[in-house]
Amino acid sequence: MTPILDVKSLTKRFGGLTAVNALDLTVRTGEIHGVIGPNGAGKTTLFSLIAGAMRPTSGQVFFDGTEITTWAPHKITEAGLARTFQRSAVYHGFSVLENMLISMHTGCRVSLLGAIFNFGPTFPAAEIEQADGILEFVGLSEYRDAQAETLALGHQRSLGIAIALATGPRLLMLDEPAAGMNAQEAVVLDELIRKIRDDQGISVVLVEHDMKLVMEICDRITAINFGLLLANGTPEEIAGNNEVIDAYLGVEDLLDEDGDHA
Amino acid sequence: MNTSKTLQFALLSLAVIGGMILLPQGLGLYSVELLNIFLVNVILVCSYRMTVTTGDWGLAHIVMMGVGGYSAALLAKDAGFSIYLTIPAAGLIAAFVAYVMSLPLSRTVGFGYFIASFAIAELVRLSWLKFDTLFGGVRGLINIPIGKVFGYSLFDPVIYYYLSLAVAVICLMLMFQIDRSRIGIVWRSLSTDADLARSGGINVSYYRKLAFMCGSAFAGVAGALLVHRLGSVDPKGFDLTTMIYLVIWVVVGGTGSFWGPIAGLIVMTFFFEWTREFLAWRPLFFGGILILFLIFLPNGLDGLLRKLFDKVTSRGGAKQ
Repeated sequence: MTPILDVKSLTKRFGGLTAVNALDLTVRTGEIHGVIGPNGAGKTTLFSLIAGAMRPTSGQVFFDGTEITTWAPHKITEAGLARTFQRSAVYHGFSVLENMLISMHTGCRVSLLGAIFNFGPTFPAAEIEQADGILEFVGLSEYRDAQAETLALGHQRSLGIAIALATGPRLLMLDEPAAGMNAQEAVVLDELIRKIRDDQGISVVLVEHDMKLVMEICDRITAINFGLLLANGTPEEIAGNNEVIDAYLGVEDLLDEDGDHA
Repeated sequence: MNTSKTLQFALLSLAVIGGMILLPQGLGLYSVELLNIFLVNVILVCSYRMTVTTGDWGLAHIVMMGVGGYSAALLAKDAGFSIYLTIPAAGLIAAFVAYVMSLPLSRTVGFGYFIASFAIAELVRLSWLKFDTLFGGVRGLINIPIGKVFGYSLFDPVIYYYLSLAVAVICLMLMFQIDRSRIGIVWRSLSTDADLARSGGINVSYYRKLAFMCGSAFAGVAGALLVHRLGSVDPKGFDLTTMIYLVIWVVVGGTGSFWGPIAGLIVMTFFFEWTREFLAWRPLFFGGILILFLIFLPNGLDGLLRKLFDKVTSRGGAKQ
């Protein structure tokens, strides 16, 4: 079976600094794949390279067998690869529902003439229904009409995921989804990510600092440091890998603790 | 918008249009001429808002109006086109020129766009001075034929007023429809978070170009209306000073809603007339107002009214 995402020998140099160095990453279809590494390991750069926000210096990215290395970000999203941001990224000044409707752009484009001669509602009822469905799925139904920027941080992050889901992805890339969340919110997130894979059949890649979350939900993990591949394997293999433990200094302790999310 | 709101809105629009139709009957010729310019400016402010909703605050808009004006003048003088043809043609030509300009412009953002739009627009404006065999240089083009509608000479300000009113109503309806469509909403989303939009599958560069072209098309129509009324066109009318007045109208009105810039234009037009006696002080007054609004009312009159309305009805999220 073709892997949903196949990154081959990807390299990104910023002047003298090599942020990502000949990195390979394979995400199997239907799996939750974690990417871990200390601060500055090149995780977010890797994400930006895959999502098309940055051009790699060399290397290739294949999405479901198609090379997307030089594609524009919106093309990549249209093809079915959506990403979220490390910061809470929502459209300010719009309601939660409008945030969804804007993102359901792929597949329902409007021409200028179509816009001028549309005397009905801006968004067809079927689209609103679909948007409501996604909001219910991520647990934001009750905030449907609230302004997006007034939501609590945890909810804004859920909305970020909902926005990505609204583009109809086959692979979802989550950039530190648990950052800034308390223990309770992290548990809800944990469940949501599982549901995305199990109920919607969407493969997931996540970059995360929260080791507990990563170890619990990921099928496979890739550990990187200084832009280099450190180890690849199941959570058990990674947890037992000495190089990873060295890079992290105290990962074992973190794993033993309950509910303390940095 | 639900049905009763739509009905209210339709009735209100009809009342305003009816009022505008009756208006010149009670006014002197000078006031009707002011109204003619006002209608041109209504199209202009709404079209400028159209491009700035994407977050692209630029200084090219007044020159796009000039492109429409020069196009209409040349088509009427040299090709003998009637005013029915020069007005839409001016819009199309302005949109085409905007497309060419947007090729480099869409590669810049924020402050870079602000300066680049001024530079490219100035290039266009200076070409009117430089290629004087075609555009008439400093003196511009004069004796632009004005024509007739239904046998009435458009030289009569009141007749011209009705033509301008019809064009303005059509333009506003078109712009309103685009503004409330998915296209308008995507434009507004770009100004809040272009990176998010990009990763949300929106072709940001396409939508920015489209906004600039649409706004420029309506600015071109406004330019054609102005030039036919004045009977002449010259590069001075589309310089930075005029552009700054346009910015002031839109900032005072606020870009949060479709009607904000029109409110700003009305208030500032009255202010402009009242300060006629203090001619030398006028730039100071207008500059002061711009600064005061940017500091204390960054969302303009539109934002102020919205706030007051929310306070009175004490509900959040009035924007539906």
